[in-house]
Amino acid sequence: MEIIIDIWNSIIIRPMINSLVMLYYLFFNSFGVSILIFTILVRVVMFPLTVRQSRQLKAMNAIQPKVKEIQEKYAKDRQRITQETMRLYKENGVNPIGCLGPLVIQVPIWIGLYQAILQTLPAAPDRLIGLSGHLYSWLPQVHQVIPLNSSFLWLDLALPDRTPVLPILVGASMYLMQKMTAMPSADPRQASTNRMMLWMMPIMFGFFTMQFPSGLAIYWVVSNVVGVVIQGFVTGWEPITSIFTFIIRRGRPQPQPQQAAAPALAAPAEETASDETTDRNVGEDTGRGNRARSKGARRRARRSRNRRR
Amino acid sequence: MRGRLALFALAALALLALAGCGRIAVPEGWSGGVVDDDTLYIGTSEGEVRAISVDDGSTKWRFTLHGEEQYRAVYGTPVLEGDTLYVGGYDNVLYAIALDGRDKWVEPLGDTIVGGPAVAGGLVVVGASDGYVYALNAGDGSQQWRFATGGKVWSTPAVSDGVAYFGSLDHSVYAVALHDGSQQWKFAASGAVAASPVVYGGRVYVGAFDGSFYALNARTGVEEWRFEGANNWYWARPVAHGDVILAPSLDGNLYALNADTGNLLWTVETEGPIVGSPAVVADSMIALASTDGRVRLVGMGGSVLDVCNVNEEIRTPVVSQGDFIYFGARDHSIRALRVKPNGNPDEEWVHFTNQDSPTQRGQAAAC
Repeated sequence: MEIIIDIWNSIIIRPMINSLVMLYYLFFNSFGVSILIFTILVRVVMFPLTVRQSRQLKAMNAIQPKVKEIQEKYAKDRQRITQETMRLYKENGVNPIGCLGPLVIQVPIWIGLYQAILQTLPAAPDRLIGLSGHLYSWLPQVHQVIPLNSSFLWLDLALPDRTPVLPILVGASMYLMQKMTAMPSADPRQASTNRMMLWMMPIMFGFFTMQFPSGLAIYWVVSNVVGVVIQGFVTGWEPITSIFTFIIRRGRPQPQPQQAAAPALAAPAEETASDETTDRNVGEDTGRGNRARSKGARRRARRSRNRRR
Repeated sequence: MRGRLALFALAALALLALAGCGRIAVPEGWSGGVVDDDTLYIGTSEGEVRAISVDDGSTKWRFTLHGEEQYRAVYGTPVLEGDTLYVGGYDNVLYAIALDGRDKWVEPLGDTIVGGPAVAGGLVVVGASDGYVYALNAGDGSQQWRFATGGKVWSTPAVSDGVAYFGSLDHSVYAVALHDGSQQWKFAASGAVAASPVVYGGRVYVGAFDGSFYALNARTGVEEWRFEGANNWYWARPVAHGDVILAPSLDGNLYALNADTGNLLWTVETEGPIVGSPAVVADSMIALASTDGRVRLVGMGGSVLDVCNVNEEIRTPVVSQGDFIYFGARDHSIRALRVKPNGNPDEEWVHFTNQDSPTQRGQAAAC
């Protein structure tokens, strides 16, 4: 066990602590700025992996209609569905677990950063003595700036945020990140799981933010924002724009009954968009969008569609 | 998708586990002891001050700190002056305790107290984590003055010729007049100063977090020499003996320096950071305790005469009286060793502060 702790400290904790303290020394003696820059550096290092993940996601999206076809074609043979789906993945160079790479790497970073923050911003003398053992002796600058100032904006980075601001920021950024990276699924059960994850993760991390040092929460927020931006440039901004479209649509005044014909005519186009969104497992938003229309408008849209058929 | 869900669950579990463990470490303290006749007074990791018989290690009395349980710890060494024991508590409170274990007065300060107090000229001088050094009337605890620094004051002040000398985590060493708290001089070091200074032969000796050990002119604060041989911080108070300054470092070495020139005379290497000060025993050897769990008896020329392996981290200073030395270890023990003239130590008693019968033990003596 001691060997594992030594390896963990040598590979994760010590480099992390020394990087954070060195960034503190270089950038305005602010530990908040140090965490910000550290997060961006981590994201830069992980960039190739993130881009690969984004491309995998894009490829997964592209082949979803074919997956749907397979599921319909072999509806009664689940084994065949699996075989054919795997073949399809292989043909298109898609690895269904390829999207997990950055996440797998992030878990030790979270744990390491949590420990690094606690050890770098010690309140008690016992922990400060512990910090001395983690600093590189060949890097005199890191010794000179100890003890670090843990204040950043309204936060004490060694303690959880007492206001709801950071939990909300973490939750919101996590929601956007989840929305951008939601795995497409033609399977209704998986789609349901995805919908659950979309909400569960932001709530869970919002809760964690109330328990963990705010320095770690800043890492989460910045990491999510950078992740969303990278994902947006690689696979497009549609998942996020769909949220804004939905919000704007909800914000508009409801049409009067005598003016309802126009939205009714627009219904098929809306539904096409909502199909796309369902593929990204955000069908519940669009569903609510449809429900937001008046009963009369929906009835008229249905009649209009039937007449056209 | 199942893999992704499992990974999230794993991450959540890991984070929850982290939230549960290690978030708040309870401060343990590493108080040194003070010996008076047949009694050792020392702070314990249970947040108490104990009076222990030096003859057999039995408890004479226990005094529990008044603050919240998670802040009950003593880091600084208590000071005995007349019939009063002065103790700085990590619970923000300075205690004046009578020698029968009852408090005479208690005075809450602005923040946690890590360094020990110093008593001189009817004043108790102590630093706190709020950046102030306080001077209180030793008789009733009323505040006489306070001096502001730019960082936490974890160093125990050294008082000499009406001047209090102390370090601050704001990277400075200060000299302050004892009677009114006015600043005499300030020396800017290249690192934080948590160590307590020692005043000896007209110089102030103190180490800092930049790995430098400084000798300053006590009157002017001008640097006379510095030793840069350590590769970690200085935490413990140095010891002056003859023309030698003993400077223990968190790099695990005890450096013996020429008091006038700062030249390195010899080094004793240990396998762990040295947090507590060594002590001179019977004017002929040095008792050095390290976090590697060993107490080394070192000759005045730097040769290790003998070793007692306690096998538990030792972070307290060593205190000596005659041929006895006393110290605490992280297994909640306070130990007494008798040191023979050849440096061979014998463990006389062990007092476990976390047991109902403190001197009852089920293991062989460490040495």
